[in-house]
Amino acid sequence: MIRPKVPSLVRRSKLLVSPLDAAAIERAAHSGADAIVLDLGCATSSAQQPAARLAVPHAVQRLADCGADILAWVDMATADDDIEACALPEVAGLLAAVGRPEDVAALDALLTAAERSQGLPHRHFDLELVLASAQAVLDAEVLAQASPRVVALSLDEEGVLADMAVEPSDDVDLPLYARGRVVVAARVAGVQAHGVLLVSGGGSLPERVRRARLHGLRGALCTHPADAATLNEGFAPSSAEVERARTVRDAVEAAVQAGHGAAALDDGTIADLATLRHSQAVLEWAAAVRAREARVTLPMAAS
Amino acid sequence: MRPPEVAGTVERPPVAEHLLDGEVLLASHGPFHATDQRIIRHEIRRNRERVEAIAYDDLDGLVRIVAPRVQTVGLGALVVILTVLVGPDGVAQTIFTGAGLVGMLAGFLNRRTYVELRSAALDAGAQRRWRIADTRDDDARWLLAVVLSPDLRRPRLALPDAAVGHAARPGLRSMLLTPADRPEAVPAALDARPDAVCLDLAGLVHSTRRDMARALVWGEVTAAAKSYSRVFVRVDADALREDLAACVWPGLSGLMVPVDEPGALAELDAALTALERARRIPAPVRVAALLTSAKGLWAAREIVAASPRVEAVVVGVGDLAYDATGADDDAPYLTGPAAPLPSQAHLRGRTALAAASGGVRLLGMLGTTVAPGHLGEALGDDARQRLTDAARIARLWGFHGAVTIHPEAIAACADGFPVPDDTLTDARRTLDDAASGEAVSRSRLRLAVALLRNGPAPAPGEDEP
Repeated sequence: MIRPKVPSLVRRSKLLVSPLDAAAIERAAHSGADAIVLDLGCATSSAQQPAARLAVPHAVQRLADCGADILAWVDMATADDDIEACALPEVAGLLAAVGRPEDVAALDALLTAAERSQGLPHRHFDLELVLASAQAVLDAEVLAQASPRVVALSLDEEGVLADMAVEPSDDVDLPLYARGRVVVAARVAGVQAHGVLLVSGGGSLPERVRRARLHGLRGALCTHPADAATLNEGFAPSSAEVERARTVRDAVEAAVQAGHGAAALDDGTIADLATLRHSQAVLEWAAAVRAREARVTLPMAAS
Repeated sequence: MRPPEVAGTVERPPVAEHLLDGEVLLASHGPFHATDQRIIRHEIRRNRERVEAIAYDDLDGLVRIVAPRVQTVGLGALVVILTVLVGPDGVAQTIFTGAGLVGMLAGFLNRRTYVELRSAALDAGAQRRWRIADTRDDDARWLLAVVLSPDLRRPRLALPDAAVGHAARPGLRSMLLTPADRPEAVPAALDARPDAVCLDLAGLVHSTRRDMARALVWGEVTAAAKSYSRVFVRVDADALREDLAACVWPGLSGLMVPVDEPGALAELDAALTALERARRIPAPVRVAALLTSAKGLWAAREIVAASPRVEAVVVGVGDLAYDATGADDDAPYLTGPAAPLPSQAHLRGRTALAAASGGVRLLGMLGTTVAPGHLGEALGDDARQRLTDAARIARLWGFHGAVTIHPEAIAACADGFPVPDDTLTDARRTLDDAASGEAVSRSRLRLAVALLRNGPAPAPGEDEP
């Protein structure tokens, strides 16, 4: 079994805010999002970047006590300036859209240098790689393994669709294969798979989140504070799933004690070592989510 | 006998003379040109050229300005003042004064919008020249999108010279396959106005008639080159040398070649280069790589990257109409004995990613299991609608066009493959939002530009022989 490098990473909802938008930062602090992403490279135009960089420390200070992970989305083209601006102890990690393994190596080196100059422990900052092109998705496996800092791969469906010149559709889920590929590549590297904005395949946001989780994603980006609760709820295992996982675990453990390899459950299905592995993963994820929610110091909308 | 020369070269825009080494022109609108390095303002007035530029690093921001039309207001005011001063009598005075006032009002109401590019590097006089007017024009939208987003400045998104200043390129929505041993069928094929006609030296031609087809194909290429359609020839991988010698003449736009490994393209490239030189072909012959084998499909990404000649990937297994129309009962008619792909979603998604990674188009097969002239029997009275629906859904699966053997299917491709109007409207709104300073993610900007451009952009420099 591939052990995740970061079993405790819970970033179901990542709320994107501009460091220049004080009101949005205030709302983000109360949103209950697992992570708040300060935007230097996603929707911030190059003309706004210098001002946005200057605003980072103030934004970080405001968000420091809200319990959410503070992340920054940096622009690969100006990664050195962006990282210098947001290499603060309160910042947990970075997101960046990468294309080649050399991009990941370059980010890693910049972060190492920043940690040294700030007197922070080695690998203080983690990395979430945004895969926003067909090429990046096809190279997902190599990218995920290009730095030990990588904790997640995030599939940017709009970026991939841009390479194909197709709009997201309610009828056809074109990024389905890309999602599967990113999930497998992420698991091979022992990291999580995430989405950026879930735009494809139709349905309401809760439906899209549910589908994303069934496809193996553990979190996504949102731009509206109200969506954070939907993502938190949708990416957490439901109580029924947790209940069933406990049943399977207990049944298999009892069977093993009794000298059997598998047990029959009340509904007639089998509980064996394969289903146990899945159940353990659900229980670990549920425990991580509970621990994460205990850290949030502000009222939570999600259960 | 030497075929006549074909004039096929593209005129370069005057600004191309002022580009630096390696600088790539990405978007143009009026006197403004966005490259991967800077924004150039190039103006020719009274035979004198004025060239100014702002590097992206020196750009402080974009400001959208809405202003009354000063000239119209001024003209209206002038009419009013003159009328009062000169003082024609009675009705005439009323009419002239009224007209003047209406003119002033029109100038106030019909405001013009422009975007000013601000830079500290410009003095006040120069700053006035950096106003981009007509921002509702698609070319202006692209220009502003390129200026706003570094991701759009990747040279991969460069337009070939021919496309600069033109909104939508027709692309390759339809390719009509017709046997080269039947020259009498070629005019009918061209009458259907496919984006490309593909003269077949391979599958549609009986092995005993291949020599005849090769003898005829030069005349067909030369004649078809004067039509609306681009001219492709499908060659047989097992008789490549003979087929190329027969068909690579001026007027040929591309070849459809079955490929199952990237190495085959190096061989093809060398043979084509020699023929192009010997026969003075004005533009490089492109390749539509036909993937018909499992091996070829698996190596799609490497095949796409193997030669800059590759313009499109044609998936030669599984007819688009099979499950795209959703009419399962009729599926056997549409696909004949050929089985559909085992996992459509997987293989289509994978092939679409491979094509996209190389910036090339993805084509499918449409109605190719129905005999020509028998569409009505196979698909019923609404055959045309069924094919259009298939094309429309295939586009959402990442296909940009289709190869067909039915002239009737060309209209279905022309209706089903272009990006729909409401999607284009949304894309324009996205670019307008970004130009107004709203936060729009770079991926969404790229998507909007790709949709408005109607297809993935070709790699830079590939139009140069």
